[in-house]
Amino acid sequence: MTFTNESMFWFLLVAISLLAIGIYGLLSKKSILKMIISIEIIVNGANVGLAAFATQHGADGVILAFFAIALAALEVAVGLTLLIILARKYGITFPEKLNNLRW
Amino acid sequence: MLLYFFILFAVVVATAIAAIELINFIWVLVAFAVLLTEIALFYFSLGFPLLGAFQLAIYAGGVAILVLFAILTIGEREEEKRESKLAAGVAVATFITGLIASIWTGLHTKPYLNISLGELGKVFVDKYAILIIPLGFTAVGIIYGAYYILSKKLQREE
Repeated sequence: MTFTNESMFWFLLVAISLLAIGIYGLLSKKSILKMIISIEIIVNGANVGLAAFATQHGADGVILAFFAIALAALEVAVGLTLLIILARKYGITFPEKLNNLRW
Repeated sequence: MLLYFFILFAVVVATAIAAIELINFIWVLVAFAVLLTEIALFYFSLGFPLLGAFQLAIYAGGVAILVLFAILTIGEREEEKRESKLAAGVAVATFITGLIASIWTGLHTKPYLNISLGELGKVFVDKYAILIIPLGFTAVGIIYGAYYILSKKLQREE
């Protein structure tokens, strides 16, 4: 099932909406978990944009979206690992208190 | 068809806002998982079923479970309030700029290309197969870097 040819604008609208919501969450939230989720929303918006442009310019956008999904999953795994260790050992879940990694 | 699209669009925007604004982390995870699943439906609608399956497996499956484990480990905590006028301004400015660019791009939409799985695999092997090697090194570097930072910190604590 595909949309009509005139509908690329709507997919870009989805991408831009996700990007704007993710930027708002990233700038306005204090919790590290919410910031990670906001970054994921931004990455998903970028992936929707890549897939929309792939319908116009060939398969490269889809392959880049594959790479972006794989790297974003890796980034989430590392970020959540750091979050869990910091929360368990130091009780920190807010980034402005996160200054004890300096050495 | 446009009605189907607008329903999907409304659900995506509502769940994205809910994932950011809800206080209870379990409900945040529920909204986030629904958002990731709906985005996979967009990929199916665009004619990329493999990308949609990848999204469902990696994001709606793996990442959502990782976030669930993180929430269960750190506990459900309420976050502190923060003044968010600047963030809202930046987000609105981004949206308006992107909207103008989207309208401009949408006016020049060409007929959709039919990209088969075979063509996708051919382009991948021809152009991007070599990219797997630096990406693998990047992944190992990220994981080792996180381990190095934590181990060094733990050594100092001891």
